[in-house]
Amino acid sequence: MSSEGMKDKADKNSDQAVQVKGAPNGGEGALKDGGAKSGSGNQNGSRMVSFQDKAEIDCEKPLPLYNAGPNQAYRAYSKDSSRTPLIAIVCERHVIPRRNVVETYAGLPSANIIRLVGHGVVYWPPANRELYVFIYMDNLGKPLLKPGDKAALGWKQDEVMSVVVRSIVDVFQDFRDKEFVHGNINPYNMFDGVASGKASKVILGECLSTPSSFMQSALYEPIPRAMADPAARGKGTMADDLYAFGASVAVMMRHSDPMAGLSGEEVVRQKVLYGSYGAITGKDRFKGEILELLRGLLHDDPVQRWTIDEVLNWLDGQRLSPKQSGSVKKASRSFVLGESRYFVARLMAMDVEKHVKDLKKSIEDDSLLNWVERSLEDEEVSERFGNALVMARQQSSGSGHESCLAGNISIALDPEAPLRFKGVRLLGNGIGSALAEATALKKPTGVYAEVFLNSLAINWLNVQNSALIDVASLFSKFERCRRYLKTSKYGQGIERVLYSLCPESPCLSSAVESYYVVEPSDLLRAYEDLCQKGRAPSTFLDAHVVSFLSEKDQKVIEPYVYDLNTHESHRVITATLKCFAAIQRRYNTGYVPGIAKAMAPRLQTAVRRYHDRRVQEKLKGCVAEFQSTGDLVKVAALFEDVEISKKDTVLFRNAMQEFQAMEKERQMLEEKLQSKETFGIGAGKEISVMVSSALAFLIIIVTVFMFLSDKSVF
Amino acid sequence: MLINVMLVVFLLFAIVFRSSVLIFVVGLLPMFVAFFVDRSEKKTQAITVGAMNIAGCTPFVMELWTTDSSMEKALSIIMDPVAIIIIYAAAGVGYLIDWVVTAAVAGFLYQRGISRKDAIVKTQKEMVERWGEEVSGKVPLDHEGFPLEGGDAAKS
Repeated sequence: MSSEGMKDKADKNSDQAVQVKGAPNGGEGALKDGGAKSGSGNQNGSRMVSFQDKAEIDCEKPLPLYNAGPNQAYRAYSKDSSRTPLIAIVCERHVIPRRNVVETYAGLPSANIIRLVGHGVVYWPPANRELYVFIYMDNLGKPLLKPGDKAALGWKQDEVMSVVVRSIVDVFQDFRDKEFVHGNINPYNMFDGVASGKASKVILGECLSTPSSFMQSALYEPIPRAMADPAARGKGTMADDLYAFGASVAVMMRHSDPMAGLSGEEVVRQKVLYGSYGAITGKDRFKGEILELLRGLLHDDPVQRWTIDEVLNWLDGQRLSPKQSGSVKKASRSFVLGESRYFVARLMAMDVEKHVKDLKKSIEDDSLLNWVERSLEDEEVSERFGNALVMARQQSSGSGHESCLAGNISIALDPEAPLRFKGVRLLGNGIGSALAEATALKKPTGVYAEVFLNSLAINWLNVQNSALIDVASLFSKFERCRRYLKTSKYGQGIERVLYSLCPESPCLSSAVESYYVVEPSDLLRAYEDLCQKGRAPSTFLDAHVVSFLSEKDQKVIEPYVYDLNTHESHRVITATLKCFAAIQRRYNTGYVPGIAKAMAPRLQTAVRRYHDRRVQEKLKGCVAEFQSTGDLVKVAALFEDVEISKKDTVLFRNAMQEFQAMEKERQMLEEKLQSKETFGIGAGKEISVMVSSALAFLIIIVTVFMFLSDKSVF
Repeated sequence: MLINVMLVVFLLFAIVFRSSVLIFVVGLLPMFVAFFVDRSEKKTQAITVGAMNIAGCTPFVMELWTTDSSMEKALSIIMDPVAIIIIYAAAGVGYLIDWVVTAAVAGFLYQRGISRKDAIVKTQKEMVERWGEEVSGKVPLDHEGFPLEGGDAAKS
């Protein structure tokens, strides 16, 4: 197929690229098909995994050449008669794909990027779980650089200009127009687009299956981003992409790799000491117009770095003279921290965490402060340093104090660097994806909570350049996170922070770990499948699920969070029922008999929360009916009826009072009935008085009458 | 003071109506005995006997009043054994009334008490069937009126 033909087909496919979620294990639930079923797994042991109605993935045919970091690439084929070969990138669960920019990517018109055919959830048999997959056209060819190759291609300037620069600049124009950031530009991810022979252009590889810059080595990232953990670099900017492009061009042109064998941290040190241009080009000397491009793109100051417009002007022949990156500021004398000697504050900032004890000592004896003020002679650093000391004392005490101090000192010495704390290196908008990765890998997440609770994140934000990052937006996000962390209630805590900072993350609850849940309806689908298989979880709405739903659709969870936090079984189960019913109603998911069957026995607890056994019997009947239909909305309506509950309570209170009165009477009677001889004697005596008095009165009247009428009695 | 006044008034009456008083004093002896014997607070037995005793005296007092009301007449009446038998027999009827009516009424009330108790037990049983054991108030309840026991802490 010609490249034009491929492009046309790719364009057509990209128009059709809509996200459809997969049904796990080919679940046969009653969920409606509307958006629910996508890829059904190979239940019969077949090697082919069906993806929507577009492609089939051969799960036994990996394409390691196209792997995206930990995400493996596999051969796929279109489902039409042409059986066009495709590439499927299957995302590992801990790697959060950039689902939020997929539509933008699909709309990029350039032919020099890998074309997206589809994306969505698929059941992946080798992992026995659902995973997210991206399907691309296989128009890549070979990568310019393969893993293990020497990172110095020694291309000639003309070759680079005609094959690489013009192709990539074309792509960059589309990125600018669509405000898209690629985040994975390097020679390993640039392809020649031909099976054999010489390339006339390059095609940029995939960038959606991982967080931005996740796969970039330190060489292709600007210094601050290179310092951060791969998952914690956050969304980059076009300036970062242009830097990566510059580094890629330099690697293609250079004849030797001055940083061969160096670790990422050592690469960063080289860049700090010699500037990015100097570190990457090493002893290679470039001449002419390409020198301007490299100096412009590899400028360490993002403000001074060339923009795409400047690159276009340069391509048009306009001669620009980019400023060289300023030489690193060194102190007049060194400072010894641990066993290392430091002249550069930025390098010291990289290491303070390794020497917290020595750092604390040097702060207590003011030696570090004296060095900053007298040797470094940088007023801004001195001021930040003083503030950091004050903040560290205020914000933490006890065992965490030293780490907190190191974090704050690191920020003060190098504000552009990522936040360093207890082994993690985080850039502001990368905290979410780093936290998601840690959670998915079941690593401890306490350090992320401490970052907010000890105000380190806020302190880091306070020294950031608002021209480079959206400080105001991050500030409100971080404040919200700190609020969430003050309690561990459902809907708050570290889980809420995760989904708040990383909305692309799927639900990472262990209950649905075999599923890829990105929408509330997916959650219902996952639980329905689990219940149908008889693996209903003991808790449907756990901390992860509640936080996930709170971020995705507050209306389906917010009214029930209070009940969930009571941990009373009847409240929890009715809240769960109502929440699921809300999802069923709002997302029109259809009936869920599996969930209904699993919930019915648990609902007995809620049924027992009505005092009146007649009401209980009626509800039991409704629950039994619900068990067979799976209509959550209908049953939830019964439990939502406040009038029934209120009436039940009032009648019960009245019955209690009546019972008490009767009990009192019964006890009194029993007590009196115990002495049969005396029972009723008092009343009997009174009646005999009345009888006797009445009889006597009658006798007296008759006698008097007879005497008065002169009749003798005797 | 009041008692003294009443005593004086009674003595004056006794002097004025001495013949009638003689008949009453002798005729109502069973009543006086009953008053002393009856230890109950309301003196119901004494009243029962007394009422019939007074009724028994009435014909003879009327006979005295319809004649000359003399002391001699009073003495002749009181000395007449038939009169005394009649008067005392009337008091005996009083005792009989007290015994029979009291026993009958007490028996009736006892049976009624048992019936009422059975009816209460039956109603309470029905209430327990409808509202559960908690309606009896014998089970510790939460603020919503449900038994505290039963593992409410368990999550669903």
